Amino acid sequence: MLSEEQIGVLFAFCEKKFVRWYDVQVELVDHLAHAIEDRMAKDPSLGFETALRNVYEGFGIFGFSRIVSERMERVYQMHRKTYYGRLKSHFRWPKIALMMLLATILFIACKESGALWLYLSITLLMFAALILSIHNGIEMSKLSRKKKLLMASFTYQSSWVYLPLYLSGIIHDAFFRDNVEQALQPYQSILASILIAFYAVAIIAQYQLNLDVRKKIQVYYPELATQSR
Amino acid sequence: MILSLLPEHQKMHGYEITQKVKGLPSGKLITHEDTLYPLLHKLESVGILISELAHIGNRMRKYYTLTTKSKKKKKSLSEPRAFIHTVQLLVPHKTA
Repeated sequence: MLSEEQIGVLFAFCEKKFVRWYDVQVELVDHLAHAIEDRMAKDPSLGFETALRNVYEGFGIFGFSRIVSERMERVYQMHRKTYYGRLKSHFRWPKIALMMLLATILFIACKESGALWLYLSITLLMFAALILSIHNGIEMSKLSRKKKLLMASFTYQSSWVYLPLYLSGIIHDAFFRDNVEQALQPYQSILASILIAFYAVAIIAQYQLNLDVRKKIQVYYPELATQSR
Repeated sequence: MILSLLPEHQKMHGYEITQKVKGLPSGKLITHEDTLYPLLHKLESVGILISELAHIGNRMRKYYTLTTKSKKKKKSLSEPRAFIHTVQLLVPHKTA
């Protein structure tokens, strides 16, 4: 088995070959180490550096670059799949009951008190999304303090969560309208309450994805979770 | 090819898989590790494989295992069809 120092050389080799993510390095270092050990076992006169060069040649002219770029794509896809799985779960019983309850409360509030509740709830949810995003960023940076992780850097960010930001101009105008407390038509209240309930669920699903990714990092790399405290 | 190797060995790590694949007749198409690892990661991202990390001495090792869904799929794929399926995963095909 290779020594700690030689394993360190392999990690440094990966960095030199532009593999900056620890979670990608781990798999490559194990491959390189195992291959080097096999070659040195077959030919004891073979030096470590020569064996490393020979093993690296087996990765072809592109070296590690294709592995890294593909890995980025796969991590993003896996996270997106997890996100939409979480989102869909909120449309199944019993979670859908919560969404329907929220939509009902919003419908009654909008019907009684006009568009003010509509814009207030959108603004509150936007702040909630912002706070969750900042909190996730802080937690991820703690986990990535010692080692950069591709899993942490390429977490899927749903565009649904930032949708109200694109409508912020409309929301801003609405608060300064004279008739902001004017009651909405029933169909407007229904549509608005369903959309806001969906928006709330999209934020919850994003929060759940962020939590899933952090938990996965803590399970796979507990030494990083310890270092973050 | 990978689907045919894994059930027999339960779980395997990347280097082990690459060595065994190279030893198969249809493995001659895949001669470089930079082709095999993206394939493993793609199989993991579509839910055919799952991975786990384990400490082996002074380093960590990533093991791959077939999921239940893929074990059922494996039964329906003969070796030639598995080979075609592998090539399709490796080479993105464009529609006309």
